[in-house]
Amino acid sequence: MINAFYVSKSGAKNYQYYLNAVANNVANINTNGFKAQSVNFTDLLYSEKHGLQFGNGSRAVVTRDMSPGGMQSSESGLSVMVKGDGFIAVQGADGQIAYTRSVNLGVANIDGVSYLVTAAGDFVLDNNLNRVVIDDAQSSITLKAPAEADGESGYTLGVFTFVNPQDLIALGNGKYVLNEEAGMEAIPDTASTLAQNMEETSNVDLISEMAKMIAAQRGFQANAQMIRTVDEMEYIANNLNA
Amino acid sequence: MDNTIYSATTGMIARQKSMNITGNNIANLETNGYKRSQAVYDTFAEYLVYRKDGQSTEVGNSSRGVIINDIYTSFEQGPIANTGKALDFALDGFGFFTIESAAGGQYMLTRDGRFTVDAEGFLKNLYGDYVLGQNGRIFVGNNAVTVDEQGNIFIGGNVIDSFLITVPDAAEGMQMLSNGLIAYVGGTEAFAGRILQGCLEKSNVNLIDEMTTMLADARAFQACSQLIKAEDELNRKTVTELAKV
Repeated sequence: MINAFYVSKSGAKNYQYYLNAVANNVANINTNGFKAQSVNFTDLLYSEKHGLQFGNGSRAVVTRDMSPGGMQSSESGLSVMVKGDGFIAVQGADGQIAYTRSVNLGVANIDGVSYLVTAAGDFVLDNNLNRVVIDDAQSSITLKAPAEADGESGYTLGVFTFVNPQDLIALGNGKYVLNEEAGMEAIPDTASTLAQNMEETSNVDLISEMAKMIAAQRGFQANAQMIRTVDEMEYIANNLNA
Repeated sequence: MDNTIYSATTGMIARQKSMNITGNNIANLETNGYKRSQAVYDTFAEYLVYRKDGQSTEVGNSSRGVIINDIYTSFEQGPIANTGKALDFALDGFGFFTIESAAGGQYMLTRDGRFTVDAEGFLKNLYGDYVLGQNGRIFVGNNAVTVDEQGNIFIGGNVIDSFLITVPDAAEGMQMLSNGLIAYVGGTEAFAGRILQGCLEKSNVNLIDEMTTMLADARAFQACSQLIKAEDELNRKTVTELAKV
């Protein structure tokens, strides 16, 4: 059997993953806090026959670009985003701690206590990972990061940073959890500040996504052409005796 | 028995192998730092042909077909694309980043300069292997990194290390591993190129060349198959018609 068949299959399949990632980036171009994914190709193991090294195709590795997106003013009431590399800690109803870049907030009254919650219903945490409780007597809510001056009034949110943010696992809804396997730790952020009533736009660059889409289509086509040619060769070999 | 069928078979096998190489180039069209390979053909050892006429006169050389005796990897510079990411690096000129395996101890080379920082703050490639500087593994923590064209790594204005660039003096000692890594045993030279931050080297595969090679191989394969068929037809005639009683 001609190995090129499988080699090109791996190539065509990887271009499919590539196109999936591009499609997801483009679909989330207006998703606040969304971080673009990119697909990196790399070669597979080489097999040695008669002292010659034959390649066995490629494989795709997906990475996430954690660089900050743009800022825009929010039109949906109370919201906050991180200026800098940090993430705001939130806690889901199941107790799981997640991290997010940009959230819309509200106040939820549970058993007589007013908690600061995200639009998705997660509790917002402070820098000791305790739920932020709102004092009902105050009419307006001001939020600040631990890095901001102590003298300022307002509720301090837990802002954390990571040495290897690209290893965070995405949960959807702009939330990420620590990747224990990669040995991740949340480090209290001493540099980032908060921007209230602002939202972080996605960091997707439409022009480069479109360029990638064109490249992916042509790459897929080249691999598919190879599969077809190899198929024709198999046909010829099969008909040697015809 | 005539030699044609066997000669044509070696042609088909060689073209099939060449197809594998072309297929791998096309599958790695988008692989950063990938270097294209191509088949190097050679004739099978030639042999002398004699005429059997009592004193056995030489009539010339003949061959039993074709063989791929080498795979040539072109280390020609690939195009450099700007990504603007601080941990993307491209090498302009012949040479390789030096990589230490994740488990430690095994040293490899790569042209794929897509690096990242692990939880301990060490510079690694995308596959978890350490990137080496002159002083060993490179610790960057969560600091911003700038690198000049000589490969010196700066954090906050201070040089902390510089990339260890290995330049092999002979291509023979190189063995391709997966993930764009190359094992190398042999001598080294000084690096004469530049290191570019915020850039990546794309693969040096040229799609037009690969498509042409693919078509040429497919047609040569077909031509060899026609030879086999023609020879088979001759043999059929010999067997069924010549010996008709």
